[in-house]
Amino acid sequence: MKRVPHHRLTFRWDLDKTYLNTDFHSLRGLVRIPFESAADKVAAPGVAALIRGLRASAQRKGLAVRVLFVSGSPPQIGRAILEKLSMDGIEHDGITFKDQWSRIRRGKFRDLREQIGYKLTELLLDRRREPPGTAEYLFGDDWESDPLIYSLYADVISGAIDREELARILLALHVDPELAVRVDALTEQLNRDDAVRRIFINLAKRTPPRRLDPYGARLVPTFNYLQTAACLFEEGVLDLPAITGVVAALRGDYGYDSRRLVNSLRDIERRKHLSEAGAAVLAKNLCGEAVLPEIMQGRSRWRDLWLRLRRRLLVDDSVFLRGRADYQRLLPILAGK
Amino acid sequence: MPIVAVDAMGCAGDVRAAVEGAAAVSLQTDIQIVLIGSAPRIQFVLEDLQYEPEQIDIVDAPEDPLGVSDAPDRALRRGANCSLTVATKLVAEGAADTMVTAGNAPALWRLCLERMHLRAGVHRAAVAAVYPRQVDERTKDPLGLILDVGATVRCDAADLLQFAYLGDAYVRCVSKVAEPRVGLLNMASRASAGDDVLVEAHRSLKRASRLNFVGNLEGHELASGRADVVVCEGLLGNVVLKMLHGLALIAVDLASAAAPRNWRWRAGMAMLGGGVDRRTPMVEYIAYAGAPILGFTSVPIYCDPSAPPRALGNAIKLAAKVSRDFDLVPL
Repeated sequence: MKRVPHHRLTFRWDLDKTYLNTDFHSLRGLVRIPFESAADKVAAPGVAALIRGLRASAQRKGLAVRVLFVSGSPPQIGRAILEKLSMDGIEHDGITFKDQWSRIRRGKFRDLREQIGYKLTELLLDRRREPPGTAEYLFGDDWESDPLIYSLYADVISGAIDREELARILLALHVDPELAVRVDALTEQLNRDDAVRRIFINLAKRTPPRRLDPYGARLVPTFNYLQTAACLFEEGVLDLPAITGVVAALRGDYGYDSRRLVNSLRDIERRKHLSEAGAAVLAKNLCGEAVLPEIMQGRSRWRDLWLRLRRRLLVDDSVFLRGRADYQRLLPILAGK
Repeated sequence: MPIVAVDAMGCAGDVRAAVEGAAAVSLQTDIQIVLIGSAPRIQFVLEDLQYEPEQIDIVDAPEDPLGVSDAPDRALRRGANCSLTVATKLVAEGAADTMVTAGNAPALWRLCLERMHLRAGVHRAAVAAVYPRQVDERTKDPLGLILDVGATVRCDAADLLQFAYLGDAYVRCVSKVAEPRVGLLNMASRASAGDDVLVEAHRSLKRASRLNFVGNLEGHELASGRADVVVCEGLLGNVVLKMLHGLALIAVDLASAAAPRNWRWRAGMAMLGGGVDRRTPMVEYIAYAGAPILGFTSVPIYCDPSAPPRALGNAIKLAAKVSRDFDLVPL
C-alpha cells in the first residue's frame, strides 16, 4: 500500500524511561523523583540529539514539525522537566502531565495508576487538532503500556479497529468506563487517516524483542537510540547530519566505542527493522563521515553497490509496514497482567 | 574489554545453551561476545531472551558442526566453514581475543596447533582442567587445577616443568593465589619414585626457584587440597579426570537409587541436600565446566558438549578474565 505523501510531521514522546532514565521501579527512586532538579535528571543516551535532529531534519526539508511529550507523571515535577528539556536544547510544542490531584479530589483513586485510558484520551484529543497530511512517529518504552496504547491509537485513527471493537478491548483491559466513553466520543469525531508510520519502543527493561511481535511490524523495539535513528534515517525522516549527531553524542557523552555502535546497527538489521539495503546506505554514509569504522561495511563492494542500486531503482514501500496489532493474541496476556 | 568468540553450535548444532549463556553474560558484564554458528538459528533464540545487543555480534558459519566422534580432519580442510573453524580463525587473525567452545575437542586441539602461536618461551601447550578438592580455609579456591589432561599423551621432564609454569601462572591469574603450590602426580611421595621422566621432572621442579613445589602427589592426595596445581602427562591426567567424573556419577546414581527405597533415606537425602549445596565445590565444578588450553598467545576455553547455559556463561567470563589478566603474570 502506497502512502499519501505527508507535509507535516508530529513526534510524540513519552517521558519516563523513554526520554529520561527515571528510577520509578524502586521505592527510593520513587520518593526522590519530586525532589529532583533538572540537573539530577538523566536523559537516555542519544535521545536529546535524536529529538533535536528530528526537528532539524524536518526543517531542512521544509516540513512543518511538532514535538510533543505525553507523560503519566504529575504536573508538580513539570518545572524540573521543562528545565531539563531546555538544558538539553530541546524545543517542544507541548507537554501533557497527568493531573493526579484532580483525580484524588474526584475520588478516582483507581485512575491514579491507570495509563491506557488516560494516554489514549490525551493522544486522541491532540490528534483532533492535527491538519490532514500529518504523519506521526510515536516513541515509548517497555516499562508500562506504551506498546499497547500507541498501537491502539494508531489503529483507531487509521480505522483499522472500529468503535465496537475498541470498546471491547478497553473493557477487557479494565479501563475506567468513564474514560472508555470519552475515548469512544473522541474516536467518533476523528477523520480516519493512516497517520502513524512507526512506533518505537525503547527496550529499557531489555524485554525480549519477540514478545512485542503481536504488535505488528509497525512497532519497532529498539535497544538504544542509534537503532531508532537508523530506522528513521532509512525512512528519510532523519538526515545524515542528524544521525551523525546521534552517533557523536553516543561517542562523546556516553563513551560508546565503534564496536558497540556497529553491534547495535547489526542487531537492528538482523531483526529486520532496518533493511539490508538501508543498512548498506547508512554504513557507507557513516563510514564516509568517519563516525564509524570500515568494519561496518562487512559486505563486498559489489554487493554494496547492488543494494544501493536496488534501493534507488525499486519504489520500495516495504519500510512502511502495514498491519494492525493482533489484539486477539495480546488481550489474554495483557488482561492477566 | 576483551572480545570472546563463542562457538555456538557445539557438537550437536543446538545453539540454545551457548546463546542463553552469552545473553546472560551480556547483561552482567561488558564483555564483547561474537556468537559463531548458523546466524538464523542464533538470531531466533536470541530474540526470545533478554540481552544487550551492543555486546553481541553474530558471525554466520552455516556448515554443520563436527560431531563428538567426527575426525578432526574436516575442520582442517581448506574452506571449512563450521563454527569451530571460524572461531579459531577469528582468534588467530586477531578479530577476537579468545574463544569458548563445546565442540569437538581433538579438532580444537588440531586447529590451535595449526593456527595459533605459542607464547614466547613455551614449546608445548597443555589442556588444563579443574576438579573439586577439600580446602581447609573458606577463602581458598575449592577447585584444583590439573594439567595436562590429554593434549600430550607422553611427556618428557621439560614438558612437565613447562606445564608447572603454565599452571602456576593460570592459578595466580584466575584464583588469585599469590604462591600456588605445585605438585607432581606420581605413584609415591619419595623423589626417586616413578620412571626416569618423573624423577627428572621432580628434580627440575625442585630446582625451579619461581615455583612453590610441594613434591610428589599420590592419587589419594589429589582431593586433599595439598596442591593448587597438579602436573602430569596427558594420558594420566585424562584418566584421572574421567575417573573423577565417573565417581561423581556413581555417587549421584547411588543416592538416586537409594532414595526411593525407604522414606527415611529419602528424608535424609533431602536434609543433606542443603548441606551439599553449601559445600559448593561439586556444584561449582559443574557450573565451571571450562578447560583452558594453556601455552598459546590466546587461551581458548573448552567446555563439555553437554554444558548448561550457566557453565557456558561462566566459561565466557573466564575466557575474558584470562585474556585480560594472563599476560600480566610473567611465565
